[in-house]
Order: sequence, then structure tokens, then C-alpha cells
Amino acid sequence: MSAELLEKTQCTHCGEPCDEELISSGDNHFCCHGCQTVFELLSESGLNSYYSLDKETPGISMRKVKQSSEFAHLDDPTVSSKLLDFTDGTQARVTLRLPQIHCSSCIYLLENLHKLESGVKQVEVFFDRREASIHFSIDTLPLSGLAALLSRIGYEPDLSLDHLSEKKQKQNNKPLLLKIGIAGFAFGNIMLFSLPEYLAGPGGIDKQFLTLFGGLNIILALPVFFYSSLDFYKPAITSIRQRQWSMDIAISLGIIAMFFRSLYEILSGYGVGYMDSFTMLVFFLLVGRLFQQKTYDSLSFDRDFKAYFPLSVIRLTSSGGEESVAATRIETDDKIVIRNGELVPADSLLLDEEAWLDYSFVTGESEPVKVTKGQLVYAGGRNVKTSALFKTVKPVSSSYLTRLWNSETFRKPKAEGLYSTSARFSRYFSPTILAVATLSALYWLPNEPGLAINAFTAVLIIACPCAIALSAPFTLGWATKIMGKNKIYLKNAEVTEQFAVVDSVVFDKTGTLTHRDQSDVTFRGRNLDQDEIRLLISSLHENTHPLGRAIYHHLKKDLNAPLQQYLLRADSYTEESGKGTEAVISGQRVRVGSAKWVGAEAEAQDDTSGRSSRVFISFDDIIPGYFELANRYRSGMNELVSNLRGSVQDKVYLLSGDNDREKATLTPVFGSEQNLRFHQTPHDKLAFIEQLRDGKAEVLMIGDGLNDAGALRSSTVGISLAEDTSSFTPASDVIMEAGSLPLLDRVLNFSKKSITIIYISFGISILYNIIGLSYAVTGTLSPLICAIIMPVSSISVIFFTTFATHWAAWKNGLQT
Amino acid sequence: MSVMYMLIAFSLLIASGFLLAFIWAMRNGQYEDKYTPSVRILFDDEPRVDSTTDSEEKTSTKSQHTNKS
Repeated sequence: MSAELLEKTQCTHCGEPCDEELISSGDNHFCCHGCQTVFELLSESGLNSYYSLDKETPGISMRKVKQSSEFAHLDDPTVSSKLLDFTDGTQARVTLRLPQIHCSSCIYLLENLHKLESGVKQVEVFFDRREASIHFSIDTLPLSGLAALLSRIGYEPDLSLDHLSEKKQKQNNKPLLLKIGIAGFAFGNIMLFSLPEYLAGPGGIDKQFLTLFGGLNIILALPVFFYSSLDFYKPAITSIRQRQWSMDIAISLGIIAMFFRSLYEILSGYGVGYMDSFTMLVFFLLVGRLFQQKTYDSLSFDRDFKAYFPLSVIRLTSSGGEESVAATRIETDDKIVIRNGELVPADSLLLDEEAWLDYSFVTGESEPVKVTKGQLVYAGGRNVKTSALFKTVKPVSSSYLTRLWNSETFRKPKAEGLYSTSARFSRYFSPTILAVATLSALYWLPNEPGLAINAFTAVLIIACPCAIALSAPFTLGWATKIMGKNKIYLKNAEVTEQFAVVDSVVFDKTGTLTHRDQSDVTFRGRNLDQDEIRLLISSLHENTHPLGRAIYHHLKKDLNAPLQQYLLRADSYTEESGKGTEAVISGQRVRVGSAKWVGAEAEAQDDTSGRSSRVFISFDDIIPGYFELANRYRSGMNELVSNLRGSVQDKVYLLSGDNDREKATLTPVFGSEQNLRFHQTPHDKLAFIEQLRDGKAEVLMIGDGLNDAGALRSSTVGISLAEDTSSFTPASDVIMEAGSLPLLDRVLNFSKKSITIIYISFGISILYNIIGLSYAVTGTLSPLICAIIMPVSSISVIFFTTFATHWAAWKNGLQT
Repeated sequence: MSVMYMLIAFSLLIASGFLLAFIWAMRNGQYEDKYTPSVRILFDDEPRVDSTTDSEEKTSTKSQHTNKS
């Protein structure tokens, strides 16, 4: 079997290529032991259908799942009581977020969990929300056991501190659907009762039927007027209080005029009224609202720092024992144990000799920092390599990172409707309509007072901006859906309008412009021969350090022999945390690590540019050279930045928490050194964005970590970039999959086009309005004309916006 | 023409029936998750495989299937 074949063999469990190792059992091949374990577990329990339900292999690659096997803290009553929906001591129900749910096989496996573990009674999966409601016997299977079981099969529950705060308010469009249902019901039936009159010709229909239909229409219209239309009255009253013109005022006036005039006409026997148009209007408008309300239930746009912190930490008690406490209850001077891979929840001092902390969340610095005894460690740092003992110096709430959330930006909610196109438009529209209505009433008042009221109400009715009010929701709704198809997920439809006004773009570097886990590897020194490469690969095979893995993959690329036979067995292998590794293979001592570790101090001092990380190697103390690892930029970034510079007049900036070793490479891309800022703390980033905003700039910020959270929040549009959507993202307006980043300039163009589309469809609706108004000002508005103009204008606007947004997306090279 | 009154009454009654059904479904949470039930209904309730030989047999057939796809 050649290496090429090895690459192409797919894991039976997860479908990933088995490029690192290959474990075969019978006809099945696995990319790692984790996948094999899950496969065996499932086949033992008769859950093989898991693999045959979907065309693609459904399993979650166990290489990617971080195994935090420790769930003991979940059994702490303070934690579990907040997680469990219900418990009576023996039975319990819990709703867990399982972000890894991605296909129908996942549903199958999870809903058959009782076959794997008898403690589980029943599981119900909510796919859209990536949640599972699990009913289990808590006396035989504790919550920690359940979490461990789920994580063992690849569905690690998303448990973090924000669960301990009150339960999130789920966005609920139930009332809206109910209102639509009632309006639709009334609309259909009223139209049925109104048609006879429209079709009867000059003679009209029998008087008795006219009375009956009129009465029924009033009864059917009542719930629409008093319930379904509530969504328009409330915002209208609010905007009147704020002395602002809004679209809702015009709509509410139209609704009220229609309802009462119809009521008067029917009761006085003067006519049939406009109940059909009225209910149709409300129905259409509500459907527009629903259409705009595309939400991504499985994504969380409002995560704050709490979501990153562990639910609970191990605290040493005064008697020397360990206890698991909720992170919120950590106080000053507590001694806490932070395990490998956990975040430090509060600013603390290190009590152990040394520890390595990865501050990438906080500062964006990509490499772990060494901390020695007594040094201060900031909250948000991830403890890597070993577990360590810390003494807290501040409670969680006033730690370095948490303080960011106490800044002014996070206190006040982001202003809404600031960029709303229809709000700007209605500032002129609503007063104009009222003026026309009043003028036509004044015109008729001296001679025919009766006609004056008719003209006034007719203008309000016909001008009721149904088509106008549909323009924005449909355009923005489509824009949101189209961007969703391109893996750009908007928090709400208004974000498109915010995109359209952007005039400055700010990038974060680490993890945004560069890949988070990939780096370019180059070897500097004399050429290595085949045997030496073989030695290196063999010694790095087991290495877990990120730099070691990167070099291993780099070397293995050109390998064309099966790995199993190629690897040499090491006689001894030692790994020194933070220094390097030493392996003795067939008598040769191979060292890989820092300059100091291999004894290359003199050469290390040559390294003045500091542009990248270096890993030195030695064979029996002879140093052939070193590997240089540089951040790898995502593909298409040069192009993207230059395109963006074209569209926002060079106002493209870069903020990096990292050092300035890449300055020389980045300056030509961004045009000027002044647009590059290095060594930025989260507070600096926030301050920079605010400074731009004070200069009246509309800023688009793209970041990926917690360290960008402040900046994302204070910008006009904050985009958080995620490698895949099940990963954590800080609070933002947009969540974008990393692969879609090169589309950014096209997204900006598309958003601008969408706003143009809204204006054009405003024009179309006004055209209809002028036709209708020419009838209305004379005071003679027949219900039939009203019942025709209303749907025709609305439907043509819906067609136009649908067609135009798709065309604009296609023009800009976005998927539709 | 008096039959019209009856027909109108019937039509309203039936329409109201649907409206009530909609409201009931709404409150019952049937619109909360529109994807999962559509998948769930396709799962066969297969008998539990107890003996190891059976499960091994099954494993190999299933895996062949996976390899083909």
C-alpha cells in the first residue's frame, strides 16, 4: 500500500482521509483510535444504521473533538440544579446544546442512546437548535456520566458559564405565526363574502345577503383589528412619543381608517366597506415580517466572556481536599487547580514552578507563554501542557478580561434602526400622506362636507404603504438567505443595511488573516538526507506540540512509503515541556526543540528579525539547521484587501495583538504603515474602533477571538470568523465561516445593491400610490379598486425584490 | 336561496375548524422544530442485536455499504 493510497483511505467512522495513521480491522479503516472505539461501541449496540442513513459518513472525527474527560463538576448540586430542567432524585431531564449535531444520522444515534446506555430513558433531538432533551435515571447515571457518554461518541455538550446565568430567552415567533394565521383566515373568508358584490354587476346582490355578508365581515375583521394588528400600533405609539415619523404610523393610520370607515359603511348600509383589503393588508405585512425574521437558531450571536469560561473549577479546601465549585463562586485568595486545556477564570498568581499559558483568546498572540512561580496570570489564558495550581487575586467579575465587558460599549444595547432605509424614507412619506389627506379634505369641506371625510379616509386607505412596507423586509430577507447560503450568517436582516454604509474595514491578524492552526514550514541549513528525514519523522510521530505537529506534517508530505513500515522504533523518548524532545533511534540521539535545547545558542542570537518561530534539530549534537515556521495567510487575502482598499478609499486597517515581526510583509498589502497596529490589547482595539467611530466612520471589524469582542461590539458591523460554525465565536452581528472570507468585498457590493433595490421598489409602490390617490382625492374610492390595487402592488413588489436580489447576488458571484 | 345560509354556516364552521387546528398545533409546539420529525419518521425500529456473531455480520455488511458510497 503506497502513501497515496493511505491518503485516500477514508475513515469508516468519520470519512476523513486516514493520512496520519491507519487502523484497520476487517474491512473497516479508521483514522484514529477514537473513531474505532466509537464504531465498535455502536456496532456492539446494534446501532449500525448510523452509518447507512446518510450518503456521507456521519461520524465526528475523534481527532478533532477535544476530549475533556472531566465532567465531575456537573454533579455539584449548584451546577446541576441550574442545568437540569427537572429532577425528582431518580429521574431527571436535561436539555443540552450539542453543537456537533449535523445530519440525520446524528438524530438517529442520539435518539437511540438508550441502546448504548440503559440509564438513558428517552432522547429528543431538536435539530434546528442543535439541542437534545434527555430523560435519564439520575440515580444510575449521574449528569457527569451522561456528559462523558455523549462526549465519548463525539457529541461533547456545550457547557459553559453562561448557562449558569439565567436561561437564555429563546427567540419566539409563535405570536407572529398566530397573528398571521388569524389574519389569513379572516382575509380568505372576507374575500369570499365580498366577491359576490364585486361580480354581481350593476344590480348588486340581494339586500338580505348584503346585510349578512356585512355582518360576518365585521365579526371576522374584529380579531384582525384588535389582535393581529397589534404589532403595528405599538411601534407607531412609540415613535409618536419620540416625535419621529415612522412607517408604522402610516400603516396604523391606514388600518384605523379602513376599519372604521368600513364599519360605518356597513352599519349605515351605505356600502360594503374595505374589510377585504384591510385583512389582506395586515396578512401581507405580517408575512413580510415573518420573511425577514430568518434566524439561525443553532448559532449564538450574543456570547459574552462567560461562554468561554469553564462551568466550574477545582478549588482546594483548607483541609487540603479538592472540591468542585461553580466558577462564579470563586473568590479572592482561593486556591484553584486549572487542568490542561482549561481557561483561567480569574486573574491569579501561579503557585507551581512553571506553567504555559495560551493567551490567544485574550491578546491574539499565537504562541503559549511561559509563566513562572509567583507571576500574575490573566483571566482568559488557557493553561496548556500540564495542570497547575493558582491562587486567585481577583474575583471573576473584576478580572482583566471581564473588565472589558464593564466598558460603556457593552452596557448600552446597540442602537437599532439607525441604518434602516425604510425609516429614513418614511420620515418623508408619512407626513406627505397626512398632508395630501388633509388638503383633499380641506378642498371638499366648503361645498360637500360629507365628501371631505370620505376623501380624507380614502387617501389614508389607498396610501397605506403596504407595498412600501414589504420592499425592505423582502429584499433584506432574501439578502440574509443568500448570504446564509454563502456561509455568512447575519444576526438579523438589518445587518445588510449596516453592511451597505461601511466605509472602513478593520482586520484582526491572528486567526483572521492567518490560519489559526496552520503554518508555513521552511528548513534553513544544509540539505537533510533521506535517513535523517526518516529519523526526524520517527521522532516527531508521537509529538503533541503544535510546532512539532506542523513540522511532522511538512516532512510527511513528500513521503511515499507506507507509514507503518517507514517509522523507526525509538529506543527511548523524552519530551521536556517547553524545551523539546529527545529520541534515541537506532543509536542516534535526535533532539528537536528550542535553540537552547539542542545547544545552538550562537546561531539563535543571529535571529534578530524575530519574524517567525524556529525549531532546531540535532543528530548526536550536530546541528544541521533549523525549521522556520511562519503564520500562513489564508488564500486570497492579498486580493481581498486590495479589492477592499478600492471600495473604501484605502481605509483598511489591521489590528494585531501579536508582535510586529510581519510588518514588512504586510505594509505593501495595506498600503501604509499607519494602517497597521501591533501589540494591541483588547482595550486598545476597542479604543481604536471608537476613535474611528468618533470620526464618523462606519467601521466593519473582522475578528475571531474573545480579544476582539470589544472591537466587534463597538463597530458598525462586527464579523466573527469561525473555522466551523459549531465553534465558539464572540458576540457579533455576523458569523462567517472562514472559507467565505474572500467573499467579503462582494458581500459589501451586494449589500449596497440591495439598498438600491429597496429604493427602486419604493419607486414602484409610489407609482401605484399615485394611481390610487388620483381616485382617492375625489372621494370616490370603490372597494373593488382598493381590493385590486392592494394585492397587485404588493405582489409586484415581492416579485421585483425576489428577482432583483437574486440577480444582484449572481452578478456579484455569490451563490443563490 | 335559503340553502345559501346553511352553506355559509357550514363553510365558516369548517374554516374555523382549520383555524382551531392551526392554533392547537401552534401551541402544541409543532412549529418549533421542522426538521427533526421529518427524519425521525424514517428510522426503522430494528430489533436489538444481542449475539456478537450477528453484530459482526452486520458490521461487515454495513461497512461494505459505506465503502461503496
